[in-house]
Amino acid sequence: MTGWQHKQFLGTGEFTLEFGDYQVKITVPNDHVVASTGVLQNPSEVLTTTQRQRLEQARTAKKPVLIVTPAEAKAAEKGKPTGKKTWVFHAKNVRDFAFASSRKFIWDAQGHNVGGNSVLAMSFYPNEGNPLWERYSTQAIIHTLNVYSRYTFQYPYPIAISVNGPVGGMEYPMICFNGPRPLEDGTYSLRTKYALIGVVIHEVGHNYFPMVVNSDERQWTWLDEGINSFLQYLAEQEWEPNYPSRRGEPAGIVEYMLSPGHDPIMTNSESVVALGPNAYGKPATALNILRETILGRELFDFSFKEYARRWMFKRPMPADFFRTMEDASGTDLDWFWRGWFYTNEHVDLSLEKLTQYTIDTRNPEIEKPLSKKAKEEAPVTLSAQRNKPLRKRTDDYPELLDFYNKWDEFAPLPSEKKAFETYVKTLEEDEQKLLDPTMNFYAVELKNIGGVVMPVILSIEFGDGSKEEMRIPAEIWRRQSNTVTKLIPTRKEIRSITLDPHLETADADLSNNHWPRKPVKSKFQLFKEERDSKRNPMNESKADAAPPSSGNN
Amino acid sequence: MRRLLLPAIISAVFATAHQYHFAHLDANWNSRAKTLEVTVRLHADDLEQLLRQRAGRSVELDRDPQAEELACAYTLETVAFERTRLRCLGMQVARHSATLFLEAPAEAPPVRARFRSFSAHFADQINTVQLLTDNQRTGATVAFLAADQWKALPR
Ligand SMILES: [Zn+2]
Repeated sequence: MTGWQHKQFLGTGEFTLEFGDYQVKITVPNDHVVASTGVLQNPSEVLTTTQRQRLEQARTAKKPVLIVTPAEAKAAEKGKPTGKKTWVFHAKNVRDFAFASSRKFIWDAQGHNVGGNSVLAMSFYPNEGNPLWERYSTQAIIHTLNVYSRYTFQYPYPIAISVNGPVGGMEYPMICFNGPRPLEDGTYSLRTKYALIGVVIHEVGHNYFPMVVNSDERQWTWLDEGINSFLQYLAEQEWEPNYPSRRGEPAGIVEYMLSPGHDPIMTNSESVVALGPNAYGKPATALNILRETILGRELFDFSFKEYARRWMFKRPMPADFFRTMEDASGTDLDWFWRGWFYTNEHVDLSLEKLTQYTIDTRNPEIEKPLSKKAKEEAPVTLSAQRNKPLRKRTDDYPELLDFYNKWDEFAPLPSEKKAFETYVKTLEEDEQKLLDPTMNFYAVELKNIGGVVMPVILSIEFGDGSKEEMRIPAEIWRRQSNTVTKLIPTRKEIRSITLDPHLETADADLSNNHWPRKPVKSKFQLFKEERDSKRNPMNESKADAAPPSSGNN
Repeated sequence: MRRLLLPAIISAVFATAHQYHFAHLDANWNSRAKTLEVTVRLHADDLEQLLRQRAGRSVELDRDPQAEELACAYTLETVAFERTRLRCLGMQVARHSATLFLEAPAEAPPVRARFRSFSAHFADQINTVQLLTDNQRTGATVAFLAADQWKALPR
């Protein structure tokens, strides 16, 4: 793609390599266990008969099977090597190669069929990793293969490994290294648990992006990290109900998008300040919004799969991603890429004003009585009121009254009726429907304060208590990018309107999302209220009566 | 010769896929109560690591009875507004973040601030401050890089 790489590696964005086949011999002390990219070529030389039998069992097991047990690992830790062993691995079509070696390793494995490809999922960890690792690591590998393969392509390798080591999280083909461990006393907090599940999903997920869809992270970090963080979010949400994902929900990226002078996503990795929110969080959120709010799940999933499939074992650039998503969905998304990937603007739509109108039907049989009513209801001036009882000359001389005194100025004339009939004939059928005098017309005035163009999602509450949701595509902004007016015809009366009612657009200021304006409570107020409610004696006695909680929420 | 901080070196050596150091603070001037209401959001992992270092033992934010006190003390050391004396009301811990709530009497919105949570520990720490009056944002967000001390707040 770019020929020989002359750019110095600075360590921010991870480097990329071309695909190749590797045959690697690793000679280690003979009490070590080696975990590596590729398939072990000489199990009979490096594994015991028992270990080989267990490995065979693991291939068809329904749960992870221990190849090296915690007790065996502990025993090995106390021993000394008596010689050396050479482990031989072969890996096909990989862009890198990595391994880990230790006498402390517990080793578990489970075979898994991913859409017809049988994969051996394996975890290597010391006793210090338990009880977390035996419970979650291999399960999380298999979960990742299932979910990612569904959204992209069948996992193409025979092995998927997670190793507990000193690195927080780092990916290589078929093998990755993940840091979270329990405390010394063997207990672990909720956050450590979800950190482990999350990081295993993330790093195993990197097998798809960038190990197979081989983008250059040093140039465009988001192209693998952002896409991978997005898929990580999808996989986490299929792990358990309400999984506490770090990235994906729109509200989570607002603070970063408001931060001054932050870089657009389309920035070279070495120039990005705060790579985490820039290359992981924001693109993951953008893709989630593209899926849920812009394209819809069906169309997005089809297009995303098409991108992954087209660029397997190739080198995509950002334009290839943008192009494929547009091409496969048949949707022009230029405005979306521009707002979310090429600018550092944020989302803030404001519901400025609501004005009510009724229509001039031009039908004399409707308009004239309305004018009459209006005239009758008009205020009577003070002089007119006082003049009313005065005796008039026409009372004494009724012959002074003529045609004009008796004429009803509000009675429709035949010529007016005729003119209306001609007018109606020029209208389309749906236009004719709007000539209904019981129809209300509401003009909703919207303002784009943040800069990023987004669809307008309105939840409308009517006078009778009923609700309706209106989803207006982002194209509403195509002529005027700052202020637009949307006309809503309805027979009902509008009581209130909420903009972005499901918090799906990362709108940074919710205080301008209501008509009429509604005060939005700050986090600070909510915290103080919660504290005050805790001091309420009734609340306290209730808390005493309740069974002890598990201490966390 | 310039001295490097150990965590900065470590983060350079182990460029794991998860580094990012970012904290945010909302400072709302409540015009009726004449108070400054401050909400500070920190990364839970960073805070836990830091408190462990300061306390010399492991401090789990959601389980340790002293966690709130320790977190408050650290936040009061690293967050300041000119001519205001903040006090810490408490902390709320979520899965990935810890939010601290601080308050101070204030006759007017603050003019200058200092926000150095984690700034002495991570060279790439970025802290942002948003000033509000009665929960309406006034002026742009101000970013504090690791080397920044006091900065003016736009209105
Ligand atoms: Zn990553």
